Amino acid sequence: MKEIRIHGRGGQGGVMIVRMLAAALVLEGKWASGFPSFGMERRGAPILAFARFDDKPIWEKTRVYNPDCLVVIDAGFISSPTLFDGIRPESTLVINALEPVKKQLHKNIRLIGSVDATKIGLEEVGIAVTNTAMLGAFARTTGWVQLNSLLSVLGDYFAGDKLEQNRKCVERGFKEAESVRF
Amino acid sequence: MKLSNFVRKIRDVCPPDCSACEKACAEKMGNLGPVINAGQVHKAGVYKAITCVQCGNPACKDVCPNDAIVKDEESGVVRVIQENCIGCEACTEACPYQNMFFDSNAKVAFKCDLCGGAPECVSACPYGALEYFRGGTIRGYLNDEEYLSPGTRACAGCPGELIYRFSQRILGSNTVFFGCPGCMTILMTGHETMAGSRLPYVSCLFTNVISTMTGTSRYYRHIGKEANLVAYVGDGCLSDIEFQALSAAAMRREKLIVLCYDNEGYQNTGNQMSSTTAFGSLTTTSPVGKELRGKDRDSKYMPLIMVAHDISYVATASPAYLEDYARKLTKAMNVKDGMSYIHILTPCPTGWGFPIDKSIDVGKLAVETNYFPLWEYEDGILRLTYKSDKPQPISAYTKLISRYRHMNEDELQQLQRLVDKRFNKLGLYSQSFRQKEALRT
Amino acid sequence: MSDKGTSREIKVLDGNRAAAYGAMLCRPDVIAAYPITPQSEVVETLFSFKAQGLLDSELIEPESEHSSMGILRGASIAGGRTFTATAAQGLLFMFENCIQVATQRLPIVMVNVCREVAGPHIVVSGHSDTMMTKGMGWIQLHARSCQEILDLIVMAYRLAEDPEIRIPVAVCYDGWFLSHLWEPVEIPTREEVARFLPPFETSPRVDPARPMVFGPWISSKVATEYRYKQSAAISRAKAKFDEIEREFQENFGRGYGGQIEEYRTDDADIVLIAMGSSASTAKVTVDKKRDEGLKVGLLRIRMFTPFPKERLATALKQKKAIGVMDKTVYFGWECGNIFLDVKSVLYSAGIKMPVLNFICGLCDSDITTEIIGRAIDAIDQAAQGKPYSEVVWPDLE
Repeated sequence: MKEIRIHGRGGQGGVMIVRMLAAALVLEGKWASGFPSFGMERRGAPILAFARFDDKPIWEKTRVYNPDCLVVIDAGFISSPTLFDGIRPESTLVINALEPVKKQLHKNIRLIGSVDATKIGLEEVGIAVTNTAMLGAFARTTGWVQLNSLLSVLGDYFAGDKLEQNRKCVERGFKEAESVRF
Repeated sequence: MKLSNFVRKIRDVCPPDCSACEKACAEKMGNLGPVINAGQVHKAGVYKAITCVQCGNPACKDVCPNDAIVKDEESGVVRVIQENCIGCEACTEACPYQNMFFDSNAKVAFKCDLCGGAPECVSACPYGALEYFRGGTIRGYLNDEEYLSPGTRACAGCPGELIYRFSQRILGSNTVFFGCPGCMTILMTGHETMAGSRLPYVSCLFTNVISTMTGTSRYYRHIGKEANLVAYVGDGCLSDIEFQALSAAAMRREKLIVLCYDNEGYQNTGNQMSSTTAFGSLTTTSPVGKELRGKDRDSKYMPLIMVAHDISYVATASPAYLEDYARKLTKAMNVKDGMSYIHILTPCPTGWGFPIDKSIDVGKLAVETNYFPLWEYEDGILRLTYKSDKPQPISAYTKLISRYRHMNEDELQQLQRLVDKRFNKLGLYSQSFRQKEALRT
Repeated sequence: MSDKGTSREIKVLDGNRAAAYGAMLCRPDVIAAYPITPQSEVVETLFSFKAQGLLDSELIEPESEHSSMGILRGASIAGGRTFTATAAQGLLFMFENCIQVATQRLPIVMVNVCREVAGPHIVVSGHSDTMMTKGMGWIQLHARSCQEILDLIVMAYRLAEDPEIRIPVAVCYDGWFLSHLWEPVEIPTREEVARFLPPFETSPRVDPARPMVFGPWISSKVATEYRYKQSAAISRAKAKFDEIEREFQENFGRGYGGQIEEYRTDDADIVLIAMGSSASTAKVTVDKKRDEGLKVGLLRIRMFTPFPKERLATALKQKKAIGVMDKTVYFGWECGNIFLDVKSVLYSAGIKMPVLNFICGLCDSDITTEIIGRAIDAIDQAAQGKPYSEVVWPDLE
C-alpha cells in the first residue's frame, strides 16, 4: 500500500486531487481511497488531504501518518516545521515551485519532482488553479498512476472548455515536471 | 333547498311595556295569529331568531301525514296549506323551536310566512330592534351534509366549535384536517368517542402541523391527487412555536389552507399569555398585582405578517360574521397555488371571562370597535370587508370581558391608541395598494 | 453506473454521495432534507440528481430538520416512501418528530452522519448524536464503508417497510471518516434494486375517501398494548435483518453478516468489539496481531438498536476477555454506551469474564492502528489474569 499526504490551501483543489487520483487508480483496477482533513472550509487556510492505494482492498479509515509521498501545492509550506512529520524512508516529494527544487529537503526524501503548476494554471485556465497540473507532475514523478488514466477520469469532473483546459494542465504538468534523485 | 330567512333581534332595547311587534303580527295574520310573542322577544338575546327560521330540512314538513306543509323553492318559506291540514298536530310536536302553532277552534296549524318577504313586525318596531335576516346567501356556501357529530365537547359557549362545524360544511368531503394539542383537539380527535367528524383528521405535534401537511400535500401532488388540506390550530401554535415552519411553508408556496383560531392565549393549558394576547390582558403568566398589570405589550398581528409573506390569500374573520367568513373560506379553497391563511378571532368565555351566551356579542364588538377589523388580501390588494359606520370606543368591548376589568383609564387609553394605530396602519396598507392600483389603471 | 442505471458501474464516491445514490435507487416519493455539516453533500447530490432529471421525487429543502421529519411524517402517513439525511444538532432538533413517527410505525428511512453534539463548539466526528437518540424507537444500522452505506439504505427500506416490522430506520455512518472518504463503490442498476425493493404499499393512509383519525386519544390500556407491540416489532427486526441481508447477498453478491460482522472470532481467545469506520481499521490491526501469534478476533456491531444480544451472547460465550471501543461516554456511568449494553448481554447469558472499555474517537480523534493495537494488548493482559483498568481513555494516556 502507498500512502500520500497533500499539503495545500483551501480553494487550491487539494481535495479534488485525491478524488481524481483515486478515480484514476480505480480505473486501473487498483483499490484506492482519499479524504480531506476536516473542519470548516476556508479559502486560503492550510489544509491536508490523504490518499491510499493498493492492489487489495483498503481497510484503513484513518488519516495518513506515515506517507510515502508528499504533494505540496504551496511552496510556502517548505518552511513548515510539521511538513515532513512521519514520512517514511525512501519518500517522494512533488512540489509546486517557481524553480525546480534541487536540495534534499529531508533525509527521508529520495526523489523530488517540481513543477510550476501555478504558471500552467494561469496560462491554460486563466486562474491560479494547480490541482490538475500537480496530478500530471505526480504521475510523472512517482510513476504510480498512468497519465492516460488521469486524462480518462477528467470528464467526470470537468465539462466544456474547462475539460479541455484541465486536460492541457495535466499533460503539461506531466511534461514539465523535473525530477531530482538523492 | 338551502334558503333560510328569518326575523332576528339585533338590539336589546325593548321597553318593558312595548308589544308593537306582536300587535303588528296579529293584525297581519288575522284569525290565525299572532306568531310572535312580545314577552319572548323581550327575553331573547341579540341576534336570536324571533320567528320560524324556515329550516332547510323542516321537521314539520317531514312528519306531516298529508303533505300539508311545503317549503317554497324561491323564497325558502315553509308554508302550511290549510286545505290539506287534518289537524293532527304532528308538526307542532316535531318543531324543535316551538314555532309551529295550532288553532284549536279551526283545527289547523299555522306559522310565520315572513309576510311575503316584508315582515310587518320589523317595520312596526319603533326602536329598530328587529331585522329581517336573509340567510339565503350564507346557505349558498354550505354543503348539505353535516360532517361533525352532534353536540360539542368544547367548553360551553366556545365559538371555535361553531367555526369548525361551519368550515366543514363549506369545505366538503374532499378535505383532510390537521391539528395539534389545543382547545380544538378534543373535537377533532373525537375525544372519548369513536368519531368526531366524518372528515379525516391527522393529529400532529404542537410543532409539526405545517410540516406534516406539507408532506401530505407533496405526496398527493406526486401521485396526482387533490384535496383540501386544512390546518385548524390556535394562536399559540401558529404565532409562537410553529411560526418558523409556517413562515417557511408560506415562502415555499405550499398549497395549504391554514385557519388560525385566535383565542388570544394558551387556553387549553389554562389561559397563559401567547404572542397574540392583547395589551393589558390578565392571564396566568401576565397576572395583575402590585408590580404587574397584565400583559405589558401589544400583541403580534399575525395576519399582516402573513401578508408580508405575499401568500395567495390572507383574511381575518369572526364567528359573528359568518357570511363574511364563508365567502373568505370559499376563496381560500379556490386558491390554485400557494398558501391561504385566515385568522379568526374566537372569543373564549372560559379564558377571557364573559357569560357563555355572549361569545357572538363579544366577537361583534371586537369588529365594531375596530379592535379586530375584517379584511382580506389577495393579488397585492388589501381591503376591508366590513367597515363600522361609527366605531365604538374600546371600552365598549373590554367592559364585557373580565380579563380587562383591572384596567384603569390610562391603560384603556393606551389600548385604544394601539387599536387606532393598528387600524390606521391597515388603512395605510389598503390605501397605498389602492393608489398603486389607480396608477396602473 | 451509467446514471441511467442500466448496468452496474464502479464509481469513486464519498460516503455522502454513496448515500445519495442509495436513496435515488430506492425511488422515494418525498425527500426533505436540510443542510448540515457533514451531511450537506447528501442533500446537494440529490438536488443535482433532480436537476439532471435522474430523480423522480418531490424534493424539499425546508427551514429546519424539525420540518424535514415533519414533512416525511405527512408524506409517509399518506402512503409515500420517504428519505432524509441529518447529523448531530439536526438529529436532536428533529428528535420529537422521530419519536412520533416511530410510535406511528411509519417506515421512514434516514441517514445520520454521526457527529459530536455541541458544545464546546465542535463540528467533528463522534457518536454522541446517535447514542443520545438510541431510545427513540428507530432501528439504527451502522456502516463501515461507502459501499455499505449504499447497500444499507437499500436494505433499510426493505426492513422498515416489512409488514411485520414497520419501524423507521436510521442508516448511520461516521462524519468525515466515511462521509468524506472517497473510495470505489459499485452502484447496482435501478432494475435490480426495483426487483429487490418493490413499491411501498400501505394501509390505512390519509385519504378523504376513507376518513379516519390518525392519532386519536386512546385509553391507557390500548396505549400500553401499542407500546408492547412497538417493542416487539423492533425486536423482530433483528432476525428480519439477517434474513433480508441474506437475500441481498444472493442478489448483489455482497454481505456483511447481518446484525453483527465477525472477523476471525471462531478460534479467538479475545475479541475486540467496535462499530463504524474504526471497525474497518481494526481489521488491519487484528491481522497484524494474529501474525504475531495472538488469537484475537473482531466483532463489529452493525445493528445498534435493537441491540443484537442473542448473537453477541453466542459469539462471546467461549472467550477469555473482550474489549469494547466506544466513541462516546455515557455520563453518570463513566463508561461508553456499547460497553454497558454488552455487559448487560453477558450478565443475562451468564458469561463472566474481563470486559474492558476503550473510550476513543471522541471529537474527531482518529482511532489509529496504534491505539487499536494498545487496546488489543490490554485485553490480552486481562485474559491472562493480570490486573486491568475497566475503562480506559487511550487518547489521554
